Amino acid sequence: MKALILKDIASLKKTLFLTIPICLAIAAYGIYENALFMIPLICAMIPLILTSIAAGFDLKSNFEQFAFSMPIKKSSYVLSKLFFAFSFGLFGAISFFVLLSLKNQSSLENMLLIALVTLLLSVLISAIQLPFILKYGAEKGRLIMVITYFLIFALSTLLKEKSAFLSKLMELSTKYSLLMILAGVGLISLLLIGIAIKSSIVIMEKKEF
Amino acid sequence: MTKTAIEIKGLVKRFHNFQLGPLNLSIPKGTIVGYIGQNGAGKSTTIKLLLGLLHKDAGEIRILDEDNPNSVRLKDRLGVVFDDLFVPEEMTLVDLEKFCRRVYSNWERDLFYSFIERFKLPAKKIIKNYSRGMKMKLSMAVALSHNAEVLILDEATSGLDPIVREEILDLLLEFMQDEEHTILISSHILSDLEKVADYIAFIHDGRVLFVEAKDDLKENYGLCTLSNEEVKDIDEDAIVGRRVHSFGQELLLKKNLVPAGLKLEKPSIEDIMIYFIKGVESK
Repeated sequence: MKALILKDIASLKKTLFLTIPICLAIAAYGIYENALFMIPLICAMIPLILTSIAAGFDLKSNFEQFAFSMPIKKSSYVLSKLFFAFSFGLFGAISFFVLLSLKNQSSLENMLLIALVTLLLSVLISAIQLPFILKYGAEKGRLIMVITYFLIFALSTLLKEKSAFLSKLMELSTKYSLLMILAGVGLISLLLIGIAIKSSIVIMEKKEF
Repeated sequence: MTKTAIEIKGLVKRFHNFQLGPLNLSIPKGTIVGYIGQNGAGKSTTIKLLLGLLHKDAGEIRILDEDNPNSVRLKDRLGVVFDDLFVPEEMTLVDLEKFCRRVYSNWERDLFYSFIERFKLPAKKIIKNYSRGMKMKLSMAVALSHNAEVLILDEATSGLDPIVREEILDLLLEFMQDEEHTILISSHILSDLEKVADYIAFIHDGRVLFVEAKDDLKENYGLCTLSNEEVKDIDEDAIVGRRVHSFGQELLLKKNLVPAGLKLEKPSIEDIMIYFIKGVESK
């Protein structure tokens, strides 16, 4: 897996040189404007783009054929594609934790859980697009993913309007502690990441090169 | 431990408009087998099935005593060269070496760089700016730097100039200095195979028509030009294929079935392939 990660970094050298400073600049702006949510947001969005570009390079160069004629497991290939999401998520989680600590507004448990959820959500967003990209290629996969996200958002908006979903959600947030809600979000994210990884591995096992 | 490097039994792969097999092929250790056939005959499909890149519909594949072509342990013992170097073109040779070092358990960095020096490949240039010849040399360097026991080449010499092809053929012969080593090479350039191959396997329309020692192949068949009248005296079973022209016919004949005294020329592998296809298509 280390080899595949190095390969992705090597092939994305130019993109990374451009992306990392932009990412840091946006994070700094978020801190300056006291809009800390920008950190997890940027840490979720940037790897989404990087993973797509890396998958696009693989597709263009027919890299999968080369890789799987070598002693490389399909599962390693799938996991390697989550490296950027994990790295950026980890960076986001640590930064978020440090900034919340400095502000001293929350308990240690809450801060730790918020950091963990930041990491999990960053990985989750990239993990969800992975089966689509591996199945349909970078271009089509991204399109299908955008449509899927759009449908989910449209459905949730409809639910909110039709069944006072939002008020129920608000009730829930007052009923349970932030800690419990975050723990729930974390667990669901973990489960979804697991499902996305497993589906990606199954797609790769069935795929012909 | 068997003396067979690659064993294929009843291998079948079905596509919408093409079926490969049932295919039987046995490649002994210590030999170079040239795998020849027209475009679309099934050469690359066979190689992809051997490497687990395609899923077989039926049959058995056994390589170096392993029957799972997707086995990571097996692939560590194989060297593969495709008709192009399939790596992201933004990478450099150094990046590729770092990648391979972590993939193969027996990677030899010094050996790899000795090939690079020998081929005079630029280390800092990105692969996108390499010529086709340079890419193929780099691909060969990767395939030969991890102590592979079996080398599988799919059209590795096509589109290359004669000098580069010669260099690659020299590498193959060097690789074969170890008698446990084996090569399966598919190529359109039959003159290359004529130089290095011990056996020739000929595939046509998804079926292997023959697997014969190269020297026997040339000994067992002969070419001659006869008038249409003279052809009538030749046993039909002796005729492998024919080319008809205005003043007679050019025939590829089985030497053991023709009358003694008939003057025959030695065919090239290319002649044998062409006449076999003509023979199959006329039936």
